Amino acid sequence: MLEVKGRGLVEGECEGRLLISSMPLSFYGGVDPETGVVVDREHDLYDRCLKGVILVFPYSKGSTVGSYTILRLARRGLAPAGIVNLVSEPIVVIGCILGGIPLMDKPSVNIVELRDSLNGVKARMVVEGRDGVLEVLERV
Amino acid sequence: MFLTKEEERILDGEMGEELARIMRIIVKVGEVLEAEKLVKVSRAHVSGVSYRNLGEEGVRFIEELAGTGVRFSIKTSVNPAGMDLENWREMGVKEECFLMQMRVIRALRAMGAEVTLTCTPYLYQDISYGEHLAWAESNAVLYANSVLGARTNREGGPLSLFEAIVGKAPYVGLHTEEGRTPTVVVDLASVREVVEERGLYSALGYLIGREVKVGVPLIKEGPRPLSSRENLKLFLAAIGASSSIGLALIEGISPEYREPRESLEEISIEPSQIEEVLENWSSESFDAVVIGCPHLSANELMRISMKLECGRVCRRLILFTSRAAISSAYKWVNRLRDSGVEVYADTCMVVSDLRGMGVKSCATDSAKAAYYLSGQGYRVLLAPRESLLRSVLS
Repeated sequence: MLEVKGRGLVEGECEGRLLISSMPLSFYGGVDPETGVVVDREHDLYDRCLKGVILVFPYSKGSTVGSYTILRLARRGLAPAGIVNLVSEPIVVIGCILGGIPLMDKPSVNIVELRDSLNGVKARMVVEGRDGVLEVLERV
Repeated sequence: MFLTKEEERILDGEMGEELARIMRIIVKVGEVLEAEKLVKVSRAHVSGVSYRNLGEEGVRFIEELAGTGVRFSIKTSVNPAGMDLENWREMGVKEECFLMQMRVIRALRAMGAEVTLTCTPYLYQDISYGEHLAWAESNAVLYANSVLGARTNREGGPLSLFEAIVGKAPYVGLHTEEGRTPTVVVDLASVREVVEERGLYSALGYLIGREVKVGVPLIKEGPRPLSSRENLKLFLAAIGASSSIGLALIEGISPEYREPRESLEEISIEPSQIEEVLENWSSESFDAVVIGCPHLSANELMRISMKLECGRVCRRLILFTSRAAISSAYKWVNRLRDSGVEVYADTCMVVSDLRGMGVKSCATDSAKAAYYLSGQGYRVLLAPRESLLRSVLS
């Protein structure tokens, strides 16, 4: 099974299906905080619901209000179970701390490039201190 | 990251668990950005104030924060809210929305904020050259860095709230000398004439942001009137809307402007590109002209009032400004209101609900407003202020 190590940013443990995007994501304006669905028509995750998935995307962009959008999703039970970025930036770091969502970045394997084979596959993510591990639970 | 003894003590909870929690967030952001240390900041400006952007959960989060007893340790101003706090009924705002907004205002006030509710804090504070700030709101960050020579990153909504409490920010990016060196040269020689003739400062800013995207542009050969505060505000706000830029070094304006030592990549801007930007927002009809992104200054209110005196206002004109500007330009605001112009404080066209005011399409002189309003589904025309003011007169 594939195991990906990374930099741990927000501690926690979760399981979920991988939802992988190759595009930067703006939470503010790009994700509906009432439903958890991606509403940005230009995005490759358009119309997908983020609830309970392990969300993988390169980095976040757009307004810093996006941190509050992540908090809103978390308090409504609509947030991703965990997030993996290629490189995290403050919008998503703060959103994940406030929402209690495990976060890691700088994965040892570029999972964004493995999008076609890994999308929808079950995975477990564990972040302890500075260590993050993403473990793919199904054979692909 | 290096932390001082005092910072370590806060982190260890000696000043209370809540302060330790907030310090952990700032340190974590510093680590992610690879900051070497934290820097003391003298003022904060908080964005993310409108109840519409926060939602019930965000409003509750700010109330909870205030409820823990933490207070801002430095001078802290705040961005516009979702409505005029005095004339909200005239804006067609429901009472429940007003009450929800007031919960945010009360919590911010309890923590010690000055409830300025404007995106132009630089008009009302004496900022010193080289002063470190924790400002959110991209247009204010660009103005502070580029025009006043102060130092702040685009700290963002929740982060600026935490930095206001601790009085520290990660020492990285635009706080550092290295982060303020230009990365690209933008030559305006071929557009300076058309921009000056037609007053297209906002479209020009939007275009520069779109082309440069990140880093620190060194902007040369700009049109002379760009140096007026009115034009600079529109120009810098538009750069902020189309990029993540927080500092532009502008020839003849920025105190830190220097000819670059090494050879940098150079971008030149062509007139046809400005036409393209204007074509993005070229709605032929509009319900109202909306001006005040960034908020109008007292001086601008006076000038608009004087311009309108040469005719009769026969189209809907809505102006957005700060409470402070209204009180110092009171006479002019009264004249404007008497002639049928709507003047609102505390809010703006981007964070209030224009639809609730019966507006479905609008004309504005601000490319930043045009960008956000078209994102919210409005039809928009972008045009210079002069021609918009002429269009409302009979």
